[in-house]
Formats: sequence, C-alpha cells, structure tokens
Amino acid sequence: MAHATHTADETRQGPKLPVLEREKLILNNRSYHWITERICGVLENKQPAIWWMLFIPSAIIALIGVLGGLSILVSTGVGVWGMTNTVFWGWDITNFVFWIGIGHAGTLISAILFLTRQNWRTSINRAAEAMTIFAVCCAGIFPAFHVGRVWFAWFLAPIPNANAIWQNFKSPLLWDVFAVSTYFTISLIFWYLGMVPDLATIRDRAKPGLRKLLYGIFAMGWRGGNRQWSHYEMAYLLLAALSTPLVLSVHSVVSFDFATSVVPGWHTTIFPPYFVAGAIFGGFAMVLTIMIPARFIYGLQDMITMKHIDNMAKIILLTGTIVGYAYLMELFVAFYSGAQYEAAAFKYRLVGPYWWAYVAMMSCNVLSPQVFWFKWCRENLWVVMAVCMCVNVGMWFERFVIICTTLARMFLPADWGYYRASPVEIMLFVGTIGMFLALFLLFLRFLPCINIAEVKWTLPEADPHHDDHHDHPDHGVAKEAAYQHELQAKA
Amino acid sequence: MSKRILQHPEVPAGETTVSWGSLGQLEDTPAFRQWLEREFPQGAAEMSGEGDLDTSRRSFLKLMGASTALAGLGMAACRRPESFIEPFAKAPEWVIPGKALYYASSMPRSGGATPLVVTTFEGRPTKVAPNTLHPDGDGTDAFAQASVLDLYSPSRSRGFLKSGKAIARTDFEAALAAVAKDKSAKIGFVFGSDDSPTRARLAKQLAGKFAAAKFYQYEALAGESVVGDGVSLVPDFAKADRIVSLDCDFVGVDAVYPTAAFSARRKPEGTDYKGEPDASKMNRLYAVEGAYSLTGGMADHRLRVAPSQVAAVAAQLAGTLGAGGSTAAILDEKQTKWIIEMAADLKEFAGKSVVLAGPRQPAVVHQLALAINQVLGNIGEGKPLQAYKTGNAGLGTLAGLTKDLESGAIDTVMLLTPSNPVFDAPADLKFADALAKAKVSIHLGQRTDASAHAAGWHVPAAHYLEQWSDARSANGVYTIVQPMILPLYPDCVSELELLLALLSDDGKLLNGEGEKGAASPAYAAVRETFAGLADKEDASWKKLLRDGFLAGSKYQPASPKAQAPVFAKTEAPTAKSLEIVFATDSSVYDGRWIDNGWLQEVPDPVSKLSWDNAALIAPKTAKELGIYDEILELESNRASVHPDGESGNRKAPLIKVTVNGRSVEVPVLVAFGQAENVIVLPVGYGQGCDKEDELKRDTAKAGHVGLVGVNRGFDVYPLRTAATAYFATGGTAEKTGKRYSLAVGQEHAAMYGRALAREVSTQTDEEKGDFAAQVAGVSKQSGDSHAPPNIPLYKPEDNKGKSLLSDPLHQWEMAIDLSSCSGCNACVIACQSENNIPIVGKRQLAMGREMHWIRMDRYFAVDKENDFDPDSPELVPQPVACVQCENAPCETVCPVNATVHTEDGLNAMAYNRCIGTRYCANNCPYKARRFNYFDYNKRNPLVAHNLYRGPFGEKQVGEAPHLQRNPNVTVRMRGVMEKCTYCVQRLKDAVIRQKRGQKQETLAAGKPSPEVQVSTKTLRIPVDSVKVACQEACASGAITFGNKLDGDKALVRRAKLSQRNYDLLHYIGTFPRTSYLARVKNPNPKMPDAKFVGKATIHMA
Repeated sequence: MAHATHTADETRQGPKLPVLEREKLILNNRSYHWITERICGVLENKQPAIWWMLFIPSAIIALIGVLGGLSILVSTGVGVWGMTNTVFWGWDITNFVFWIGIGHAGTLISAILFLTRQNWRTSINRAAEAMTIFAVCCAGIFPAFHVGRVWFAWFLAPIPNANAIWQNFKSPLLWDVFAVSTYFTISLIFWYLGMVPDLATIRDRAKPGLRKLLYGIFAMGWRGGNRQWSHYEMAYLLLAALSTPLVLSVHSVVSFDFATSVVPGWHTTIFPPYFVAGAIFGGFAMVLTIMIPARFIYGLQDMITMKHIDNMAKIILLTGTIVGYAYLMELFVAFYSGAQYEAAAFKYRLVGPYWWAYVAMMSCNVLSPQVFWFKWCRENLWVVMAVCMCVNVGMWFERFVIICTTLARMFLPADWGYYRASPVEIMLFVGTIGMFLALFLLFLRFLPCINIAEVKWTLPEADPHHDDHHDHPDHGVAKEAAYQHELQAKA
Repeated sequence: MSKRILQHPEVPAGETTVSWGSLGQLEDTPAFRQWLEREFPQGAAEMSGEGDLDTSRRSFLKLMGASTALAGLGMAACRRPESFIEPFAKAPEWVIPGKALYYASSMPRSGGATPLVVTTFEGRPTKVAPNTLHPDGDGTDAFAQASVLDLYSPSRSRGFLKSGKAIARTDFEAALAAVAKDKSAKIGFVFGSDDSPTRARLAKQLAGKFAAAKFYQYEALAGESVVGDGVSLVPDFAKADRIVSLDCDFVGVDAVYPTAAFSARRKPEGTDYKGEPDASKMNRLYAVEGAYSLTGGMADHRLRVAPSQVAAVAAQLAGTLGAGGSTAAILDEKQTKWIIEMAADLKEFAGKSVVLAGPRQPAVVHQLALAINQVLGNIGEGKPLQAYKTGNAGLGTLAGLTKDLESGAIDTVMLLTPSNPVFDAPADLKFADALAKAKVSIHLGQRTDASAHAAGWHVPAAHYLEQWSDARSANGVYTIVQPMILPLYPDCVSELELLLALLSDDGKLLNGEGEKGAASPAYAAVRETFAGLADKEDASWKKLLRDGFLAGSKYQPASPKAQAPVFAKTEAPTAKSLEIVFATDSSVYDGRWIDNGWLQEVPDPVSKLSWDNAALIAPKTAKELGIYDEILELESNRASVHPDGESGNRKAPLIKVTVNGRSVEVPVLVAFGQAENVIVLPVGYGQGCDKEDELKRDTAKAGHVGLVGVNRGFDVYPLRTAATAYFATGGTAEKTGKRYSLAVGQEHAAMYGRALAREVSTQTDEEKGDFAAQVAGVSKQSGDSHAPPNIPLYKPEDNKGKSLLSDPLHQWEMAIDLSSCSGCNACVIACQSENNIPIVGKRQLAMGREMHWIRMDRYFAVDKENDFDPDSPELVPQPVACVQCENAPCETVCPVNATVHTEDGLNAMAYNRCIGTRYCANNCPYKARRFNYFDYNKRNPLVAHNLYRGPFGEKQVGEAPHLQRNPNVTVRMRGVMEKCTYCVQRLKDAVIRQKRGQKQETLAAGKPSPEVQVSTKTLRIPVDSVKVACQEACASGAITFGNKLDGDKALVRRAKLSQRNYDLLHYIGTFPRTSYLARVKNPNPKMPDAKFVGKATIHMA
C-alpha cells in the first residue's frame, strides 16, 4: 500500500518538504455512529451461523475435556497422566506456561501501548485483554489440578491455619501463585474498567428488560459526564501503570520456576527476558489467530485494518528473533561454559529422544516468523495466519522442550527415562483449547469486542484541534456551521 | 479353639527399674507426695509401702516397667516358651503399641540357615535383620529380607486341598491317620536341602516306625554334594587372600555361606577404616563365568567363558598347579596366559587361597576345585576352606524317588521340600507321572503351586516365622527357629508337626496352638533335640531362645578325597549350536518366590529386568542370530535415537529357543559381558497365566499362582533335563515375529563420561600414578578438581559464628563403600519392609514409577583400549537413596514447606503437608524422590488396570498385607512425595531411649531430681549404636551410618575421612550427608587384562 504524500505548507523555518501521511487508523471515514452501530451490532444482532458452528463444538470439547479430564484426574490420581519418577512434570506445566504466555499480549497492548500512546491499540485491546483473561483461566487449571492432592491446594494460600505452617517464600512456585493471581486480578479489573463506557452504550441502546437491567448493573451508572470521564481516565491510566510491570513480572516469575533450580537446562540467567519475549511473541500470534477470522465474520475490517496486522506481524518478527537469539545463546553458553552436565543437557535437546520437539520449536519459532521481513507476507492474511499457527505450535513445543527434555536427561544416566503424555492429559489440553474458544465466542456474543469509546478518540473528529483553521481551507467555518445547525435541530 | 492362657513374664533378678505416672512422681518431690496424700490417701499408702512388694500395686507397676525396658532395649529378648500369641482384645500389658519386640530366629534354607533377629509389633513380625551375635550372622540377602512378606501374602495357601479341590480338615486328618497307623506304609519323604537336627532326629524315628520308609532330598537348584555324601565345603574368607570363583556366584544367587569377611577385605583401609589404604590388606578375586554375575562384578579379573567351558578352565588350572586336570584343555592363547598367571598367583598364596566351584557346575569341576585346594593346602583347620559333615547324609535324590515310585518301592509320598518338583524337576524325569502313581501323596507348601495341584493332598504350610524348628547355619551352628506369631490361618501346618503326627500312634495332627492349652508338639520335639545337644536346663534353653543359637556348636570336619577327575572336553558353543544355561533367578530363585511382590518388583541386579524373565544374550551373538537389529529397532522406535531404549517402551522380540528336543518362546534381552553363543534362561517363571496375559497363553494353570505371580515370565524348565540341569549344548534360537513388553528398571547402562560410581586400581597407571596417587585423586575425578567452589548463599552460622538451628547432639551421616558393595538388592528390600514402601506392578514400573527409596544403579564401563576382551565391560553398582543434602535443592522449592531440614541434618518429609507439586523431585539432582501417582496402598496394583479405575477399582490389596506394616512409619496416600529419611523412626527411637535411660539411671541411683545432670555426653547416643535398615541388612558392610559429632570414634566418620570418599555430583554444591567411597580393584599386574581393570572412571576428564 503506497503511502500518500502531501506537501506541507511553506513555513518560515524552511522550504516545503514532502512528508509521509499518517495512515488512517479507521478507514473509509467512518463516523461515530457507524462505529457504534457496527460494534454494538455484533452483540445485538443474531449471531451468524458460523458462531454456532464454532461455539457448540468448542463448548462440548470444553465440557468433556476439562470437566471429564479433571474428574478422572482427581478421582483416580495423577497417575492417569504420563509422568514418571524421572519426568515429574509433563504436559501439565507445559500447558500452564503456554497459556500464561498467551495472556501476555493482552496486558502489553492494553498497558504498555496505552502508556506509550500507541493509538492503534484501541481496535484490538479489548479482544486481546479478553484473551488474556481466558488464557489465564485455562492456565490456572493446570497448576491447580496437577498437584497430587488438589483438596489441599489451599495450603498454597497464606491463610492462618491450625498447622501453624506458613508457606515457603523461597519457593518460586509460591511466587507463581502470587504473580499469576495478581496478574489475573489486575487484568480483570483493567478489562472491566475499560468496558464500563461501552457497557453504558449498550445499556442505552437496549430496550427495557433484563438485558437493559444487566448491562445497567455492569455499567455502574455511567452517564458519560465530564467528571466521570476525568475520573475514568485517571483510573485507567493508573491501572495501566500498575499492570505494565506485570507484563514483565509474570513470565519472569514463571521462568524462575526453572531458572532458580539446579537442573542443567533450566538453571540459566537468560530465562526471564527470554520467557517474556517468548510470551509476547506467542501472545501476539494468538491475538492474530483469533482476530483475523473475527474481523471477517463481523465485518470489522475498517477498524482492525491491515495496519494493525502489519504492526503485530512486525512485533512477532522482533520477538521471534529475540527468542531465536535466546535459543542460540543457550546453546552457546552450554558449549562455552565447559560445564559437563549443561553441555550434555543441550546436546540431548538436539540429538536426544525428543529431538523432534526441538526441531519443531526451532522451525516454528525462529524460522517461520522470518517471512515477516517481506511486506508481501505481512499483507497476505493466509501467510500471516499460517505463521501465527506455526508460532502457536512452536511456543507450545518450546515449553515442552524446556520441561520434558530437560527432566528426561538430568544428572544420573541410571534414572534417565522417557515420558509420553497419556490420553487423559491430552484430553485436558484439548479441553482448555475448547474452553478458551468457547469463552471467547461468548465474549463476542455478549460484550463489545472493540473499545467503542477509545476507537472514537482516534478519529480525526476526536481531535480538539480537528477544526483548527490551520488544518482546514475554510478555517472551520463549514464545520462550525454544521455543528450550530445540529444544535439548533436538537433544540 | 482352646482357651488361651495369659501368663506374665517373670521379673528379672535384680530388677531396679521403676515406672512412674507423672513427672512429679518420677522425681518424687515432697509436693507430689503431698498431692498424693490429698488425692488418694489409700494409693499413697501403697506407694510408700516398700515392704509388701508381692501384692502391691507397685509390684505390678514394676512388672510393667521391666517389660518396657525389655521391649525397648533388648536386642534378642526372651520369648516366653508358652508359645501363645495373645489377642489384643485383652492385651498383654508388657506390649506397648508401636514399640517393637525383637526375637532371635532363623530362616532355614539350602546350604545353611540365615540367623535372624525378627522385629515384631503387637505380635506381628514386620522385619527381619541379621543376628549379629551369631557366628554366621553377618547379613541377610534379598530373599531373607523379602521372606517376611510371604507370611502375609494374599496368595498364601490357607486350606487343605484334595486333588486341587478344597476339602475339610477332618477329611485330611482321617487320611493322615490312616497313613500313620499303617506301619508297613512305603512312605517316601522328600525334604528340602536345609539341615534341621530335629527333622533328622524325627526321620530316624520315622524310619524306625515305618520300616519301608525312604528319605530323599530335593531342591531344584541346590547342587548335589559331589565331594562326598553330606559333605559341604565352606570357605572362611577372612583367611583367603586369593579367591577363584569357577562360576560360583557366592555374593549373589549362590550365597550359602557368610561373605562378610570377603567384603571386609575389599576395603584397603580395613573394615574399621582405621588404617591407610593398603593394597596388601585386600584379597584378590578371579572369576570365571558365562553370564555377568555380581561375583563377576566384584572380581578383579574376570574371564568370560561359556559355563560348559568352565571345566576346561578348571582342568587347565589344575594341570598348571599339578592337581591332575590337563594343561592342554584351553587352546586360546590369551586365556591360557590368563590361567597360568592366575595359577602362579595361587601358588604364591598356597594355603591362603581358595578355589570355589559353582554349586551347579558338573561334578568334574568340583573334583578339580577340590584337587586344587588340596594341592595348595587350603583345606583344614585354620585354613581358608573347611570341609564339614552335614546332617544331610544318606538321603536319596528325586531321580531315585521317581524310580522307586515307578517300581512300587514307594507308594506314599510326603512332599516337604520348599521346591515345586512337579514344576521344576528335570523334564525327562517325568516326575508328575510318577507322582500320579503314588497311592497317597501329601504336599506341604505355602502356595497352591503345581505340586499342590498334582499331589493327592495339599496341606497349607506354616511360614518359618510361625513355627518351632531348628536348623544348622553354614558352619553348622545349631540355630533355633521360633515362632513370632501363631499361624495366620489356623490350618497351616509345619513340617515338624506333620512328621510328628505321623509318628504318633493315632496320627492326630496337632498344629499351631496345639491342643488344650499345650504348645505345638514341635516345641517339645525341638526342645528334646536341644536337650540332646546341650542340656535339659531351662537356662540353656532360654539362652538359646534369647541368642538364637547354641554357642560352640559346629559341624564335624570331614576329609573329602578328590577322585581322579575325569575331564572330557566339551565343544565350545557356536552360533549354530548354542549353549542354553538355566540360571538361578535373583528374584524368584527356583520359582518359589514368584508370588513375592517385593522380589518381583526389585530389578535384577545385573539385567535390571523386573516382573519377568528373559533370554539373555550377548550383543555379538544377537547380531549373529539376526535379532540384534530387531531389538535395536524396537528399543529405539519410540525413543527415537537411543539404542538402549527408554522406560515403558521396551518391547522385546520373542525368540524360540530349542534344545533337548523341546522348545519355548522367550523374550530376549541383550546382556553385556556375557559369553558369546550362550543363551541364559533364568528359571522359575511362567507358573500360570490368566486371561489378562499379554500373549494370551493357556490359562489352565492360573490357579497355581497368586496375583503377583500370574502371567509373569516364561517357563523354561521344560527344556531342562537331568543331564543338562545347568546348561545344555546344541541349542538353537529363531525369531518368531512376536513381541512382549518387558519392564526394565534402568535403561541406560553407561556413565556417559560422568564419574558417578568411581573406581581406582591398586595397580600403577601410566597417567594417574600409583595406588596412593589414584586414591588421592578420587575426589578430583571428572572435573571435580577444577569446578569452582560452590559457596551457598545461606550460611550455616550467624554473624558471630554461632551455628544456626543445629542439633549439638546428633548430626547423622552415611557413607557407602562401593568397594565392598556388590549390588545384591538386600538393602532395597530391607528398606521396603522397614518403610512400608508399596509395590506398583509391572506396568507402572515399566513407566518408571518405581517406589524404592533406595535404588541400585548399575553401570557398565567399557575400556575402548581393552584388547584382552573388549566385550567384557566392568560392572559397578551404586545404591542411590536420598543423600540428605545440607543445602538441599528440594527444600527451597517446595511452596508449602512440606520438605524441610531437621536440626540433626535430615531432609525430612512432612507427608501431611505435602500437596504433591512434585517440584522438589524435579529439582533433585539424584532423582531420589518418589511420588505416589496412585493409591498403591489402597488400590491393588496387581489387578489388571485396577489403578486406572479410580473409585471403581478394587480397594483391598489382599486381607493381610497391612499386617506387615511398620506402625512407626506413615503409610502414604496418593499424591504425596516420599523418600529416604535415614529411617528417622529408628533415629528418634534411639534418641528417646537415650533420654529415658538417663531418667532411669538417675532414679536407680536414688538421687533427687535436682541432681540429674544432663550433658551433651549423656544425651548423645553411644557411638554407632543405631543402625538404619539398609545398613543392617547389608552383608557386605558397605553402608556405614552414624553421628558426625562422634568424630573419628564413629565408623562412618572414619570412612568419610578416607581419601576414597567423594560426594556424588559434588559440583552442584548440595553438600550431601551420604557420600560414596570409590571402588578399589586389586588386579594382578602380571595378568594380561590387568591394564584394563579398575578404570571405570579413572580417566574421565
């Protein structure tokens, strides 16, 4: 897409220079009204057939996979999974880290991009935040239920109890509990807070009845007054500031589970930044995986434009390259350290029994995003979708490689073993995928999937200087007249 | 049921122990007296009255106290001769729940009884340990340790059978009475190979009563005495500087005599670790064998030949030493040189060496070995080899019985052997057919095995812990077998009781409790035997019961004459004409332990196979037979790359082995270090299958085995004939295209360049220097010298240098000496019985979910430069349990503080707190932690698929196994992590006993309480006075354990001060409390293979 250039006015500072025109965030000069209609339409109109076709199987998979999988697990024992007395963690923690990673794009988009005034975020932040919430829900299932005695999982909470035993604050697993629960809480509040003005919009559009009542309750009396806006914006800003460190902390803490251990292949200082980059990488891939079909189904192309996809592809390229660097650096350090066990751990990643997982990880995570160097690839949605699917798979394999390969080849060859996931384990993972999709589809059905209020800010009309005479040939006369006319008509 | 009589123990003379009800009472303060007067005026009067001891409450308390002291302190306490076990509805007051009582007994077995001290809790025997007072009581092997489980086995026979169908006791009693009344009965008695003086005495009486009676002896794998009728040769390893094993696995499955002295002399510092490492203190072991055995693993020089060729080696050796034989028996140049140099070494140590022939080798090998020993002057008083006349002379063989049955000389058979002749007798004997000809056949056995079904009558046998009997140990020491409990099932009968019933006029069977309040008749019989050996004094009898043996009793020496050995050369096997070896199995022995879950689950010490047997085959032979690729392919199929396979994925090809005109199908497993063209078939498996069998085999014999043994392994006895009882030549093997899954406990056999189980040699190495330099270099092997110091962030002391949270009395530590450890698995099973460790079954084990707290790692090390025999790797075992890191990686990562450090240096597990995140186990570098993936204790892991049925599964694991549990150890539920904690229950018990002893001593001295002085010295338990289960069971003395704070007074400290001491994975900086002592090999520098010995790790960079 060639960028239009226009010539700036000659000023006293110098000659007229050609400058790149900023690409419009909302295409086709859509009006406020159109935006409201289109976004509210997603949840006010009847859902397209495809929604049902996706939702019903997802919900069934979720019910069977998650409820069924957990029932078998809790009633029978962790033995129904495939772990051994060598590889004590398998798909459980792999899936946990995978889902937690997915959740990262949401906070990054909503908090960091907000603070850095990246206005393009407004079209995608709501959906990305929803994904965060749902991904963390999926993630939470694994650590909670992978324990041997789930009915005592409350021992993890610092609740005063008759045992008079406090938690072990040295344990990264406990940090995990705090980090993930904080992350979930903040993300949920942030998501909900950002949704309040939109919920009010839906309330206002609804006919009196249950619908109006419920949206009304959740809109918390939002009237859109100046005072409310001013409080809202401050609260939103503060929450953004609060959750920014969480983007870095959650996955850093998750990586501490591994990095603080003595296990060769886990015990590396590179883990925190590498995990964070990987999480953003995987998170953006998942956002694209979901948003690209959604924008087609609901006709949101004018709001989620190719510019958004281009931006996200570039982030995937960047973070994918960081991840690739980390992979290679791990190998280099293992070789360069001269540490026998470290070197062996990485040797077995490459040529050990799980070599195929390593190959899958490398090709999906490092090689596949490299196509995004080419603009054509970033613009072809099939390619983008393919790469994103690769990244989703690759990031899962990354966690699998880190956890299972490492545990299968630790210090004493006598205890080396091989781990294979059991059907019950696979069932639970598939169940969480179903659960994630079903929740997302419900989100599309009941909540505004794009931030109506914020998207409007990015329109030219939202700019207070929109009517500034410097920008308009008629010094804003026509616009002013039209506005006065509108006011009169209303009166 | 007769009425049980409650009798109180006598008050020991000079008893001064006092019991008390409160601290005030203990200290006898004036305040307490005042309170007493106020509260219980009458009681106070009693308490103050010192005179009337006979009737007062005080004397009653005294009784209690005396018994408490006995219960807690006695090692081998007196068992009351009345032989009653009281029901706990009316508890005998001297039994304190949770406090163990220890009794001396022994386990009768072929070659000599194993003297034991049995731990009982509330009348339940739970654990056996060696009786260290006994001259032959130096350790227990895995079989002895596991035998206690058989008592509670769910598959135990508990009722009478007639032709395999259950029948009332009265019917059998009638049949027995009929036999007893018929003095002309032609009875054939088949005894086991154990030597019981009472049984021998009764046999004489039976011979008197039944003129036509004949006596036989049979055990499937016990070698017949070929050096003389009833003559046994027992080495005294303390005196043997040079030992040659001609296929005699004396530290492994052929263990019949004490080997502690052998193991002691594998330690170059001496067994007390007091000296400097000195190669001359060590013995030297030469082993000639076909399949890798534990003895071969211990050997300084190992010659790999097919078992049929051992005779040739013996002949060559005898020829070289001038003891007959032939100097041209061995043609291979390398082997000849090997034998000549060995002979020279033996000659040098004439009179201080011993040549041992494998019990199952043919007679010629025994004759040659005897001749060599005689030529070298090794036999006799004060010499390393003793020849004894045992009590088993004059007994017939099973072949003789078969003949007699067929000829009609015998028409009534009493099968009293622990073996299972219908199953395990040589196939060509057709014993089952002969047995069917008997008019009456009575089988006594603990299992309803093939013989029980084939015999006319089956009588459920009492376990040795349920009966009165006696036995001789290897050196002939008279040893008692006393009951710990009445037979668990009232119909169980002991061998002596059955014989006594036949001796009685009316043939009335009295068993267990006997009749009308009298003890079992076996009690009187044993007592009578003892009276004949010692005296009739009560005191002597009590001493026997207390000590477990009669001091000074011994076998009479024999003087066997070596017959001129007739050596006939056997052709060495080839790929076309394979040699088939019927090997003793380290789990089921001859098949009798097939229903023992502990033995089935513990991986074979060499092959690491559990729950099944497999044809073992050398890699080269497998290649020649064209099955190697298939094995490789199958093993690396799922594992993707590794040729040695991975847990749970091992599907072995089934081969058809044909020999002696019969064939069986067996899965095949590659065995390193085995002679070529030899197929080793461990015997004893395949006793019965049910419909769950993987290969859908015939289910006709399903009733012959219990839940543990059903579907386990393959029966190879049909191939075995009387002439080829040990090995058969001319066998063939072919592929079948079928497959069978095997559960292998350890998949990777190599150390992959990691100096884990370290080894040095007494011989000077060009690179690493002489013995002293090598020993000094032990802790520097494999880069440990240049690993940077690992400085922990957490300091053990505060700013002022005061130690934090540490117990000034006890700091426990352990050392495992790899030099004397043979890898025999006794510790594994001892730990299992002490710590209530469940079995998990074949499928779970194959997945790698074993629960053993101590596991036996076994490494093979190949020296690439070895040009003597490159296919004979070194074998190094390494027992690994939790090493109790001071800086434990598991502790920091547990989120709920379920695994924490105790002040006395243990890495403790709080099971109740554990939620099962398994993070600790992931972070354990030694992988010493075990997770309860299922409720193994509650849901029977032996019923197929039961564990996966969850709440719908079968809950019971039989009706009795819970009785074996140690009440002082928590039985863990599912979802909980567990691991070794140095038998913390024993440590705490010792510490509490020490404290309580203080109080008692003070009280006995009559001091008032303020004068009670406690100090570190008085509160610390005496040096080396507590033993952990693995250490106690270890016949090799490889495990030392003690208190670090005892300094070098403690054996363990001295061991750790040895330069051979090293920490496993030192570089991680875990500061383990268990360390290892490098293995020392003592090769003969003149031997052609000397250069390659003792170097499993020495050159690892």
